[in-house]
Amino acid sequence: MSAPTVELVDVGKRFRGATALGGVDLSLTPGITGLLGPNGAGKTTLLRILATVLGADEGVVRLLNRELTTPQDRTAVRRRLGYLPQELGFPRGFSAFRFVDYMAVLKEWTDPPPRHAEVRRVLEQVDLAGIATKRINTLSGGQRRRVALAQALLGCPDLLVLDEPTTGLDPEQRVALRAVLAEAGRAATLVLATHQTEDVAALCDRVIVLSSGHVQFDGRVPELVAAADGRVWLADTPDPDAQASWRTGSGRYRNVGQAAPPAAEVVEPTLEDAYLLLRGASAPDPIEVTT
Amino acid sequence: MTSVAQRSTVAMSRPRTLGVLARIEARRFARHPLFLAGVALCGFATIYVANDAKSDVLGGDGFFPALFVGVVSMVVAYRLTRSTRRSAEALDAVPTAATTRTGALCLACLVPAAVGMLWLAFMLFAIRRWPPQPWMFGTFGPGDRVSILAGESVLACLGAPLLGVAAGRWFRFPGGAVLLLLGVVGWVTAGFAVAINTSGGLLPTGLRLSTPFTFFLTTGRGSRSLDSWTGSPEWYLLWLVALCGLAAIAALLHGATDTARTRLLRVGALCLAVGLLAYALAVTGGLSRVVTVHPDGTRTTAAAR
Repeated sequence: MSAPTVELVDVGKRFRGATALGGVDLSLTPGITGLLGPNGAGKTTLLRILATVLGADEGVVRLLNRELTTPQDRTAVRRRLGYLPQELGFPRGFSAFRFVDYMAVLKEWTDPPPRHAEVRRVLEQVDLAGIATKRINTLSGGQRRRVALAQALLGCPDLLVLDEPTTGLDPEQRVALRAVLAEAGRAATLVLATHQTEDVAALCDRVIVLSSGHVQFDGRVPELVAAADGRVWLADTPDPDAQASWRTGSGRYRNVGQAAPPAAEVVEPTLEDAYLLLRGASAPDPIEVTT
Repeated sequence: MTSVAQRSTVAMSRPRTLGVLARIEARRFARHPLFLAGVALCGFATIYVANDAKSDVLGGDGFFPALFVGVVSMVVAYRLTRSTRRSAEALDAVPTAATTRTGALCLACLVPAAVGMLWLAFMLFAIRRWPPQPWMFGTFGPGDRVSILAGESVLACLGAPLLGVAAGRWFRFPGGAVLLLLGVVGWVTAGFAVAINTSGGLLPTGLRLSTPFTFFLTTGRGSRSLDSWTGSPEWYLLWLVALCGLAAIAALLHGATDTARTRLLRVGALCLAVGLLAYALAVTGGLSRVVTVHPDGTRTTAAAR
């Protein structure tokens, strides 16, 4: 077991009196951790704290064996950090190469030959080498997202914090990106927040579910999926006792609930089913998925 | 899939990053279409007017670099500073501090200042090569002439973009560039409008010289005479230098933390003290009344209006 690279002890953050995060304890080691949760659960706040962009109001934050107490500590961590914010705009008129090159300078790659080589490497990694000289404002949403990801990958960071990296990508691009992230996660600690449970299922060793600023689940992906065993079933009609129910392409209804009725056709749960069950257990009202 | 690159192990020094960033920002500045248009207009206007024998060397000509390069550069600097605001969150997570990025933008303001210097060098060469008649310098001696021309060109071309960087860092609303432009133009115009209706005096001179651009020599009535204005051009130049320093410090203070902030505030206080001293000496020094110089060399001092 490797030593933890991210340690959060009783971390809290408030915005204008409202709790965004409360009593969060985490200890992460190299590998890929998925962060799930509904909008407003505190995922972005947690990622911003991990990215040193935001300071915690309470608790201890230790990243890459440094407690973030002084500007020097933050700078030292930032030298080994890659961060992809949820929304990243670009300066007007910049090409993909120029933007990533600019970010590389800010990441202290000051010698042009190695810097340019590194910029080319990350652009190739996200499959943008062919259009590196195109202006960013002429690129599609998915391509822009990949430019944003390329800057996060600069220098093979030890800690990679990605907020919804697959937003705007088509299925092929998402699969290609998974390969990139899987490679990056072999040596680094990679934390990614997403609404795409398939990405978490496909990539992550570990999953954390946040709810109202608190950790609702923290464990391995198969553990969360196993919690839904026997609680997902197919039926010809929506089950009124199910927490979520929707009509599938085959015309039958997929029901997710606390217990499958006797003689129901129980099917293998997915991470999404497990997540819905977990959310339903904590939500005041059952989740309704309309079709 | 490409192979994983070697992690950068060389800890780069901060001045190195600043230098590289400053070069990048300087290139962006020099290639900005607005800036290029401003430089072209300044060059065209200077050469066009230089062919006019009646050209008012120390007055009207100095307006060109200040307007076409200075004011335009202020807008360019503002826009360059604001251009990365949409990437702010990613920029906050890099090891290079916000003050270093601002410092690079401030250093990029040397690009328009260099244009101002070229203009100054050209004017000094032109004056030497094709000397105007002595009355065309009004009451000002060689030192004053260089101060006036340097203030109208180099300092205007440096100070205005520095102010643009400061406003770009602090303004948090759309249309900031327009507000900045109107504010500066309004300030300069108001200062001169008050002075033009008087023949001197501490208050009008003080108002006029508080502005970052002013005339010391203007064409008199009927274009057959020149009015030399009150105040000391040399001390006014130092006041402008202090204003440039204050604009740079105001820009750098944005995002500065702890020690850097304290250091900047100390330098700012020193700059302000030197500036206020220079300003006081500029207002009280030089001519105390407007002096009109005629082509035959005769001078008349304006009576109090």
